[in-house]
Amino acid sequence: MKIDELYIDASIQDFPATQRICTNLKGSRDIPCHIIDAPDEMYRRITAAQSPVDQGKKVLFLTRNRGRFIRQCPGTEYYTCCNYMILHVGTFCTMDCAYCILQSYFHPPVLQFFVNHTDMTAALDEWFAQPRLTRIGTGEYTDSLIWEEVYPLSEMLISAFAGQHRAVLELKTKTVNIASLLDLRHQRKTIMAWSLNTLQVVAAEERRTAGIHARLAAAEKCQKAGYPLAFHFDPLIVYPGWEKEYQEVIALLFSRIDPDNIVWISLGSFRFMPDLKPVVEKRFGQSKIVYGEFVRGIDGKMRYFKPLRIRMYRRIVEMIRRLAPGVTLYFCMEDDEVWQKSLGFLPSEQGGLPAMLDKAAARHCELYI
Amino acid sequence: MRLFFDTVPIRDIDTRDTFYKITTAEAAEITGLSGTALSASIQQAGLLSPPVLWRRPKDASERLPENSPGDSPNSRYRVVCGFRRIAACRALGWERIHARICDSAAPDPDLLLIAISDNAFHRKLNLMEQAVAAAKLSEYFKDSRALCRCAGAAGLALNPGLLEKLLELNQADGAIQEKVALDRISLTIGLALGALEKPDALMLLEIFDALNPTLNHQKEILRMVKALARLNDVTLKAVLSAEEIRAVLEDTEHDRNWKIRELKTLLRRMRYPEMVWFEKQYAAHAARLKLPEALRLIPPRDFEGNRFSFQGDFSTREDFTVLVRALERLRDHPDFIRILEKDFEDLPVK
Repeated sequence: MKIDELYIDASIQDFPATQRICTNLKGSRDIPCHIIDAPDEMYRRITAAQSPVDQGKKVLFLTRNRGRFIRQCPGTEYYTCCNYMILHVGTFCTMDCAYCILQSYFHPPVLQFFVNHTDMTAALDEWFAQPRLTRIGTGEYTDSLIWEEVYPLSEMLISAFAGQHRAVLELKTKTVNIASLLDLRHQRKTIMAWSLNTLQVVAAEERRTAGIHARLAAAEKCQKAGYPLAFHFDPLIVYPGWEKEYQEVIALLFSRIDPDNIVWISLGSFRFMPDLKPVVEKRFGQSKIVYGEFVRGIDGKMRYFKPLRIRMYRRIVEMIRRLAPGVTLYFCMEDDEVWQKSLGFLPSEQGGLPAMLDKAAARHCELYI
Repeated sequence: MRLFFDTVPIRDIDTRDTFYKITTAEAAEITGLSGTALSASIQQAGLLSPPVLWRRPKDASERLPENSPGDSPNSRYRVVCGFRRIAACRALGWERIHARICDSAAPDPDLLLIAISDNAFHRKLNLMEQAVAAAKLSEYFKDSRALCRCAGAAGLALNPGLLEKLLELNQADGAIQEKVALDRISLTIGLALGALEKPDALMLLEIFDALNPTLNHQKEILRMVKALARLNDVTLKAVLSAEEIRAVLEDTEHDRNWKIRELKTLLRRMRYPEMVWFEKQYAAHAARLKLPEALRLIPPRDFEGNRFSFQGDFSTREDFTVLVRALERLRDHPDFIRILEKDFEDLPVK
C-alpha cells in the first residue's frame, strides 16, 4: 500500500490495530504521521488539492467507525436489489478504476480504515445471533483485500464467520492478496469473489489492479483451499469488439474454475451518477467509457439504453450458460423487463432475488438458521 | 492621489499606450456609436465629460517609440480613460483638450479602477471588456476576493468564479473573444471552445456564428461533436467535415432553423445509433396503429421504464366514443403488442 501521509484520530492512537498498521507502514519507509483531534483540516487539504481523488488515494486516515458497522447496501426502489449487507470496514481504494463510483461518492474521497474492531466484533456477534440468513460483504465502499498489506483484517473476519452458520462473508477484490488467507479455517463461510472484465477494459480502465490471469490464478488457489467463489462482471462495458472479448474472459474463467464451486455470478452494466462523468473525463483523458449510449435511469443514474443492455446481457448469459448451465446468475440493479428478457425468468418466481441468493449461499456455504 | 483639471495639447497625449484601456472595438459596434457620431456630438455640445490622463514623471526613463503616428514621441500623458473622446477631438482638428489629470505618483491599480468606473457607470461592459479589466487588475491583486471587492466598488460586479472564467477568456483565441464580446456566443461556450484545438474551435465558432443556435442547442451540438470525436479518435473538425454534415451546413435552400434541426438530427444519429434506430422502429409501429389525432400514445421516457400512457382530447360523448373504440381496437393489434413488448428488430450490424 503506497501511502504518502498518515493521519491518526487521537482517540484511537493506542488501539492495537493502529499500532500494528503504523509498524507495517513505517517498516518500508518514513511516512509523515499526524495525530489529529478532528479531520476537518485534512479534509480541507484533500478537497483543495488539484485532484482530490488522487490526493485521497495517498492519504490514509486511521479512525473509528462512528456509525453502524453493518448496514444495508444502498439500493433503489425501482430496480431489483439483492438486500446485500455491507460490513463497513473502511472507505475508498488504492487502485484506480476509471468507472469507479467512489471517485464522486465520498466528499472528499479519502482512504479511511476503521480500527475500533472491538465494536465491529460486537456488531457481528449481535448480527450472527439473529435467526436469519444473510450475505455480508466488505467490498462496496472499498476493495475487500487492499487492507491485507497493512493489517490482517480478513483473517479476523474469516475466523469470525467460520464460527457461525447464518451469515456468509463475501470478500470482493481486484487484487491477489490471498496468500495469508489460504490456510485459514474458513468453514466455507467466506466467499472469495473477484470482479472480472475483458483484458482490454482491465488494461485501459483499471490502474494498479491485478491482471485477469493473476486474478483467476488467485481464485484457483482459493478454490483449492476450499473457499467457495463468486465473480462479478460489473461493470459490463459496451465497446467495439466487446462480445468476443467477454467470451474470451468467460472461457478463461471456466478453464480454471469449477462452476460447481461458484456461489453466484453477478452481471451489471456500467452505470454512474452524472457527476462522475467530468471526473472520468478529467482523470482518464483517453477513456471512452462515459461516451456510451446512456440514458438517465429511474434512479437518476446514467445507464446504457435498455434495449442495448438487454442485448448485451442476453449474449453474456448465453456465453456463461453454455459453459456453466447450473451456476446462479443475477443482475445487480435491473428491473423485471431485463430479467425476463435476458435470463428468462423473474426473481419473484424464485421467491425474490434475496431469497434466490440466500438459497445459493446456503447450498454452497452450508448455512442454516 | 491628486487630481486636477487642466487643458493640455492633444499632441502631448500618447494614445498608443493602451495600458489602462479596457474598451474593445466591439463595444462601439454594440452601442452603435461610431467615432463620427461622437465627433458630431462634441462639435455640437462640446466635450461634456473630460478624459482622464496620467502625467508621466518628467524624468521617465520609458520613452515612446520614435515616429509614433499621431502622437508626439515625447508625450507627457498616458490615457486613463477617454480614448474615443480624444480621437474625436483630434478628428475635429482640436489642438488642446480639457482633461482631468492624475499626478505621476498615482498608483496603477487606482488608475485602472478609474478607467473601469468611467466605463462601467456609463454602460454595461461587454464580457471581453470585463475580461480585460479583470486581467489587468489581477496583475495587482493576489487575493481574488479583494480584487472582486475593489472591482465591485468601481462598478464591475465580479465574484471569484466569474473572475476565473474571465481570466480564462482573456487567454482565448481572438476570434472567440470577438464573438463573446459581440454576444454571438455565450461565455460558457466561449470557454468551452477556448479549451479546444484551434482549428476545431474555429470551425465550431463559424457554425455557431452562422446558425446562431440557442445556448442549449450550442451545448448539445458541442457535447455530441466532442463525444463523437473521442469515440472515433478523430478531431472535432473531422466530425463536422462528414459529407452529410457538410451538405447541411452548405445548403442554400433552407433557413438556419432547418439547418440547426438537421445538424442535430445527424449528430444524434451518429452519436446514439441504437437509440435512434429504436425510436424509428417505435415510430413505424406506432404509425401503423392509425390512432385518431386526438389520441396519443406516450412511451416511457427513453424506454427505460415500462409504463406507457395515453393522452386523449375530447369534448363530447361522441368524441369520447371515438377514443374508446380506438383504444379497444388496439388490444389485439400486433403492432401494439410489439410496442408494449418493445420487441423491435435490432440495429443491423454494419
